[in-house]
Amino acid sequence: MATQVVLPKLDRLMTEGTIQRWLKRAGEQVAKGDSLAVIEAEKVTVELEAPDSGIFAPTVSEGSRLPVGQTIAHILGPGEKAPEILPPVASEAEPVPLAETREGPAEERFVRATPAARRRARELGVNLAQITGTSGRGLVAEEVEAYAKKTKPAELEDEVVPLTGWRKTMAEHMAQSAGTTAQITTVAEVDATELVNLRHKYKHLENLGTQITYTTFIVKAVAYALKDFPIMNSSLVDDTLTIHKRVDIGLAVAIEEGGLVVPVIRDADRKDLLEIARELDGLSKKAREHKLTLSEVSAATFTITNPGMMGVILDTPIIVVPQTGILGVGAIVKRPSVLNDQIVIRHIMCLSLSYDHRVIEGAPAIRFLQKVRQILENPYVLALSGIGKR
Amino acid sequence: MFFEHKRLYTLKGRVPEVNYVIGLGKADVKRQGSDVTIVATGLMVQRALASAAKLDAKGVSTEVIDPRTLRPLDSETILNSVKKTGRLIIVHEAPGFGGFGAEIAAQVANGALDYLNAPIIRVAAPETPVPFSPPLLNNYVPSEEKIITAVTQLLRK
Repeated sequence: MATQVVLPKLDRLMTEGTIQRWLKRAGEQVAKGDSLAVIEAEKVTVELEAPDSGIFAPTVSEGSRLPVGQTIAHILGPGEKAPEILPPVASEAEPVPLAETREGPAEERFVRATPAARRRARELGVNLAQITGTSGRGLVAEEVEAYAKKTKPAELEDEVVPLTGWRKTMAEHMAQSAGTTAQITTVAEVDATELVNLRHKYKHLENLGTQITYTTFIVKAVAYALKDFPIMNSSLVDDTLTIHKRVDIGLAVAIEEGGLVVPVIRDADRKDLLEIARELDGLSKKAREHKLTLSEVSAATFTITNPGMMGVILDTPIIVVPQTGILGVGAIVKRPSVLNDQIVIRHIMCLSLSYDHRVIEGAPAIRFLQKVRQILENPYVLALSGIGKR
Repeated sequence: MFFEHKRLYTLKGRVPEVNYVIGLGKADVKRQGSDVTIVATGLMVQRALASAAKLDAKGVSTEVIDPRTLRPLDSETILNSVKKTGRLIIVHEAPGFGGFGAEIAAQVANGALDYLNAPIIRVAAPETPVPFSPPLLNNYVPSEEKIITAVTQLLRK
């Protein structure tokens, strides 16, 4: 008896998802647990696992956007017949057509045009299907020339990509943040020399199973500072400000194929550096493999983004609604600095804090930032296990 | 065979003062234009020219060609003209079906297909005996009105 594969409900509120691409071909032998497809929902992109072993028989095409629970494939036993592939349901993968073709049944792309029109279209590199004729009797050369004059040749035609999936979600969230928060970014310069040294020392420890990265230190430092400035660890929804007791820090991670996910380290204040490092490791790996669950990317109370990984020194990050703050970490760069009235070479890192001025004023926000800076300039305090547990 | 059109006897115009010869198989471009080519024979040449003058007012530039001989036919002149204008109307007094216009149309479709921007139209007589009654006769023989209508339809104006 064939096993049905349905579009999974990845979280309580999900109603539909898109099959971004199939990872197995029709007729291929699959084993239970194999990844069959990449499913894209509003917040996450995950890989769908086969519920059974057998022969894979997809029933919808790539790009289909379907309701949760819809059958998308079958896993067939030996000798069972594969059902037909249904046409795509409300596919948004195709670009919006620029003009209608008029003649013939819908599938035919034959465009009625005079021989001279066709010749001009060939010469000018114009696609006849994109010209809307005015007479209903076919295109003439003049219409082709008029079209060519006001548009570019086919190769330079703009590519129309409908806003869909993660990009659409991103557009909506960013616009909402920019439109509702009173965002200010304030920057502190951190002497990260001690941080660099400490990390270097940890690097040489064996048997940790993971690297203690700069991000680890920063997560812990932020978690620690948030305990002293609880208003930075809050959410504003309409007129209700909720001050969170738990410190759940989201880390912005870029995905190769495009888009951003923000896995969350829960209770970052209660975990030590090693636990945080291990968790970061695990979450990044899952992010790259599209295996993050919805609960792993939801409900952070504060966010950290690290564009410094790519070399930039300063940022003006956009607050993740409904949080109150987001910290952008710049690259650590060696610079000439003044220490005890001497010019020395130190490692310098900029921390850019964007905060919502509806919730907090500049002075306390800056004090919070300075606290983070203070900790990072004296990173050995993070090794004390009592830190953060108030 | 030489056809003399009796309704042209009253035509007045300039004539060369010395003897001249018209070669066989040499068409005459009676009027230059760029929007449509009219190939006309006999009396229809005059009617085509009169129509062209009226079409000027509508912003249509008409080229009128008189083949002068049908066999041999100056196909080259006709083809070159169609390549320029993209549209062809043939006007003759004989019935349309199987008339000489059909031969010209076939040659143009064969030799200048990629330049045609519209179907080839023949304005000609219906397939009936020639009437005697003047009103019927006027309707039988292609008129300026019929020529102008054909051109405007071709140009969708």
